[in-house]
Amino acid sequence: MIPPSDYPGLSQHLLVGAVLFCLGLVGFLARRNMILAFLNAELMVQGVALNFVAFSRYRGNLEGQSFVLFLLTVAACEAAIAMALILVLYKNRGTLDVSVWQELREDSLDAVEDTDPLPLPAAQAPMPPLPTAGLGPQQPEELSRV
Amino acid sequence: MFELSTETLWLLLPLIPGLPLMAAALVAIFGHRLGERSHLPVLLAVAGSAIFGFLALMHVRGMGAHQAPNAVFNYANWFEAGNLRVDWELRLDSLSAMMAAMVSFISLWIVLFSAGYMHGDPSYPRYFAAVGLFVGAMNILVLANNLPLLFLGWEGVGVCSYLLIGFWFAKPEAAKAARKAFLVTRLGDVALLAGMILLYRAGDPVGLSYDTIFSHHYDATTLYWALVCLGIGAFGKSAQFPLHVWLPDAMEGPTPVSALIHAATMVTAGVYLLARMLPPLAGHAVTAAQLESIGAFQDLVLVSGGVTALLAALIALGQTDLKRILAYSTLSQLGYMFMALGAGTTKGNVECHSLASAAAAAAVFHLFTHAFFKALLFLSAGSVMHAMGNVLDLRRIGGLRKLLPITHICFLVGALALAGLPPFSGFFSKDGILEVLEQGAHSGGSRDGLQHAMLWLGLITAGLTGLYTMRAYLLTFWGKERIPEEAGHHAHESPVVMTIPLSVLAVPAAFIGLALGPTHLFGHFIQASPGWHAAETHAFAWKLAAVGLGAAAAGIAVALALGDRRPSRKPNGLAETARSGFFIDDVYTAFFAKPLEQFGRLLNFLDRELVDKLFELFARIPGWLGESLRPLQNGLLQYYALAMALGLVVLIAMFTLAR
Repeated sequence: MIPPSDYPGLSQHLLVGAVLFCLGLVGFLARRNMILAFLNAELMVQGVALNFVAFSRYRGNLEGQSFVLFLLTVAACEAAIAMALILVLYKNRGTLDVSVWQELREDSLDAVEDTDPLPLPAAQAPMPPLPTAGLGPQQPEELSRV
Repeated sequence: MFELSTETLWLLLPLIPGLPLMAAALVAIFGHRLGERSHLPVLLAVAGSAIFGFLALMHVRGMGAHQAPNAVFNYANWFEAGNLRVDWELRLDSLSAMMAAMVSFISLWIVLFSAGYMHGDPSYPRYFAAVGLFVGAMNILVLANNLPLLFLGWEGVGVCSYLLIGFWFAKPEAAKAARKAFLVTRLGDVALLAGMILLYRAGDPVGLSYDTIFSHHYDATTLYWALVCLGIGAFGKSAQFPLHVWLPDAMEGPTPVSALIHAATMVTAGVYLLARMLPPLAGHAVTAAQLESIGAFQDLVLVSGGVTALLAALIALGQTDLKRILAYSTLSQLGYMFMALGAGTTKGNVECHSLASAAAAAAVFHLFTHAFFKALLFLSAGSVMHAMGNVLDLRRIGGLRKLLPITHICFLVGALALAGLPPFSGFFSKDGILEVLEQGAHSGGSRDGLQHAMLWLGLITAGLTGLYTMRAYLLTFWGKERIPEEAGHHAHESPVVMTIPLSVLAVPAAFIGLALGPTHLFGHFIQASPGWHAAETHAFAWKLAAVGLGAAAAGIAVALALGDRRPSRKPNGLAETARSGFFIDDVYTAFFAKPLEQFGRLLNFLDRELVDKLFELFARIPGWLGESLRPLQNGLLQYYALAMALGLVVLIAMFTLAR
């Protein structure tokens, strides 16, 4: 039972939330860079959060709003943990490509071979000592591809 | 007069089977610690049983003909199923007291003998545990007051028989003989169970106590078939034709076991069962149809007993192994007992009861004397075996009378008793059997002809018995001294622990027949059992006794004439036929064992090729399913995410469409 409401913009809000969610979903499924995949997951969360806010306004109470506060908090914690994990994974294999992690597959299956791998970063020269001016040398731009 | 109070009896009676059972448990549990002393608990317990059995016997004797018809001691309920109630109840009457005292007494001396015979065997405790269990089970069998409790003892002695025949189970023949004995007696046991079920279903369903059975009027057909089933059980246990094939092979067990189980006690359980059932049933039968039923059953017993007696005596002639000769003579003597049980008439209620009681008493008397002299013979054979390094082949041993003087005398006493020469015990009991057969043959009923034929058969068997017994004796103890090389330094008289039992058993084997037979003490005592017709004193049948003695003497004379002529090693058609036991074993192998084996192979083939394959097919289905789904589990993050997304789509679709 939906209470009468004087809020006409509900469907627009829901539409935006759904678009956000779907963009996030497509991005999550398509991206192989772990950080970008994670960002897409965050996008899906925000789409859902928008739904909460819209319904909260529509129903005229604060339940949805307060829920969104929790959601943001949790998303922040999640981001911290995810970044830490991604860092560890990166240090382990030297790449952010998620497809190098296939160890959960069945033993009997062959690993899916990446026909189009992300190029590995060129071996870096050791960091030179900082000059007295406190400015580091120019770093090459990190490569990433969709 | 010697009498015990009811309370004393109440306490004393369960100890007769209880003491050996407790000793058996003790030895079974602590055998590894008792070691060489394992025989002590069993020996003491069996001695206690023997004393208590003797006290009970004296008590019953003191009561004389005024035995309470229900001298039954009920201890507890065993089980109840529907309206069937079975109690732990023991019965004290002439028959059970005699059997219990006899079993315990003979067991005592055989246990003592075993202590010497089995000395040094690595499984010494196991042997005595099994013997203790046997004595307990046998006493339960004879003291039981209902058929299920009897069946408990019946199966108990069967198990012990199996355990002890296969005592040296590493020997393939021993293991095979044990299996054969177990399976053949099992056939009889199934029939016994069927008989119990028939009696239970036909009777007022209140129980299977003897008194209930004896006081119920069974319909003639039921009575006949129930008796036939019980009879087949008795044939199996007492190794009567056609279920006799297990007993000769049972000689693979240690010799004291052959003496105890396969000569003196267990194999007489069938005789005991029929002697327990027949006289009261005959006394209670009133209609002509019922008498006919009992008569028809007795014909069966008569024929089976007669065939066994003659057949076994003939086979014994062809044997060259002393122990196997004794085994076949046991078969033959058991055949005698069954012939006696089969004697009777259908002329009238009183005649039928009187003759059935006299016949059963004669059978039990032969059982009683046979137990002594056959145990003596087997123990003597054991003593010979001990000295000769386990060789009993009459072609390889001989002339041992100087070497084994005590064994020689004891064997002679047993042999004369078995051959049936007066004043040795076998003469009187065998004469009693011939006498009841003669009475039956002249009773004027419809069964005279058969009993007449069986009387002649019994006389022929008596002659053959004299022949093979004397021949075994002469070949073992006379002639040129032959000692097989296996004997080694053992070729001397057995130790005192073995010769004492021999000497003790020789006394009753020699004289108990004379003491109890012509004086009618035994007959009067046994026939005072409740439900039996009291014995009538009659003059000693000199004529028949003389004919029987003549037959035995003729046999002995032939044996003496043959002298030291050993069986030749050359194959000889007739001798070969007798040695093989008339090929009955081969017939069973060809007609039962082989087809069953083939059938078993067929079933095995079907099981492995059809049933197993079918189940393997079902078992593979989940495997195949997993195989086909396995590629989905490829470890790539996006695939899992895609599966979740698709799952979400399915869920939403379901909710939407279900609306």
